[in-house]
Amino acid sequence: MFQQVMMELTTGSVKTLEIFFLTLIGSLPLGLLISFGTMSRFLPLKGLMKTIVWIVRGTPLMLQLIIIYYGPGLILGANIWGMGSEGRFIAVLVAFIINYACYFSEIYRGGIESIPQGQYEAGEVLGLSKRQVFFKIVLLQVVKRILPPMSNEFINLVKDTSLARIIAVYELIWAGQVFIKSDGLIWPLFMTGAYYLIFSGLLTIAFAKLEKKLSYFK
Amino acid sequence: MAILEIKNLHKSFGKTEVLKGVDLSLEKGEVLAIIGSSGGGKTTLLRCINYLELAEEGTIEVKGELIYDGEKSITDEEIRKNRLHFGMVFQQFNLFPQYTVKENITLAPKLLKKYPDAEIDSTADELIAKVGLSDKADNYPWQLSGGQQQRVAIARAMAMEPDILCFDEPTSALDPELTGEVLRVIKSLKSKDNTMVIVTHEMGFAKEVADKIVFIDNGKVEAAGSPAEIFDNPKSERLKSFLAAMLKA
Ligand SMILES: Nc1ncnc2c1ncn2[C@@H]1O[C@H](COP(=O)(O)OP(=O)(O)OP(=O)(O)O)[C@@H](O)[C@H]1O
Ligand SMILES: [Mg+2]
Repeated sequence: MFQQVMMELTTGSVKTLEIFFLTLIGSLPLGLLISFGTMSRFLPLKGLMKTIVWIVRGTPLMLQLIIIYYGPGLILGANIWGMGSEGRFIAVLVAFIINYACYFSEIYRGGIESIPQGQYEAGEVLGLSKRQVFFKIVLLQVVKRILPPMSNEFINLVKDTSLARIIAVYELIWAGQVFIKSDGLIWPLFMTGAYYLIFSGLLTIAFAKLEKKLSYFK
Repeated sequence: MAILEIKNLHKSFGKTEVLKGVDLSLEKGEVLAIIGSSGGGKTTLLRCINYLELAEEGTIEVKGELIYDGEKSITDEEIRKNRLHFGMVFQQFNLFPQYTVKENITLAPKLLKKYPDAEIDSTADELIAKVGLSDKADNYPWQLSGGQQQRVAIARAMAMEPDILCFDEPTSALDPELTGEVLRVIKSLKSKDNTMVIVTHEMGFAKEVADKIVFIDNGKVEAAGSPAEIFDNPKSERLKSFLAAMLKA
């Protein structure tokens, strides 16, 4: 029995890990683009981006998952996600990436706007391009400032991965819950809880390390 | 030929005209001190010279070359190239916090590949020595006093070898006991090769170091001349009352 539970939980946790890392890979850069959009001086773009961010942050991720998965099929009459679990997994990723990109974009924006204008001007009068100023001067200062809120979001994402089951993606909690119905076992669910705790604990340690690493400047 | 020639510079923010036709001329190796009461437009003038603001009207020439004309549009590329004629030292230092003293100084020359890196490093060492911070080369800005930070900022600007070095009230953000070290460094830079424009409220310093003084009042050059003409024999009434107020303060 124990072995069977562990196998199921492993399968579920791999899915959870996949959702976690693939979401980050997509949403971290996408969030930066969106934050540039919300700070754009081109007002239509700014308005559009701000509206998207508002909608995505103002509605439950669960709702977004359902709409993104079923919406295209019902509206366009075609399931753009493909059949089976593969298709559902892609829909989950799309929903998560968009959702987290919007959250990250607001954190980036706060960080970028907190950098004093003098930093940009000092770089520009030295003849650096706007790109060079951003990547060589501003970015690391932004990273340092946004580490605490990013750490929160990463931990939220760990827990949000469990929402994937809404559209039948077999993630960790589902894997654990199966044994309640079939065998009346509760401990597999406790194991999933321990898994989340360890995962978010490791993240907390990693972020603390990063903060320490960037503590050489103020 | 003048190294810097500014003609009829106008700059407005919204409806307020801040520069109302400023003219300036400076020879190589000269030190120009700009004085004037608060809000007169001194910072705005320096910012226009450094392309941090774009004047709507007027021209700027460096060594006889027209590098800015308010009537014509200018591309970002031209701005980047032309602003290398100038260096700027800010009131608030604006050092890059994540870089050491030396890295602050070498960052731009290295990114712009001015010289081979080794050469940039040795020039930086010389500059650091010149501003008296050899023992701080590997420190970060937060480990320095305000006066030391400002000296780094001066070295950083010098590293780009500008034709003209601009200072906007370089000691205003400093505790009084730290102004001396910065003013001494600026004074030590005075040479036939270094041309400087210094906005300052330090009248004693202006009198001692400047070859030329310009009094800017309400967006215009209200008086200009040698330190003796400006301080010992002021003609303009507004200049007289400004100097009287400065003496009292
Ligand atoms: N970005 C801006 N937007 C609007 N108004 C501005 C801006 N920058 C400066 N001003 C206005 O322009 C005027 C001149 O300002 P400036 O900073 O050039 O004066 P200053 O001579 O440097 O004064 P101080 O001695 O206090 O530094 C002031 O009335 C100021 O409020
Ligand atoms: Mg000023």
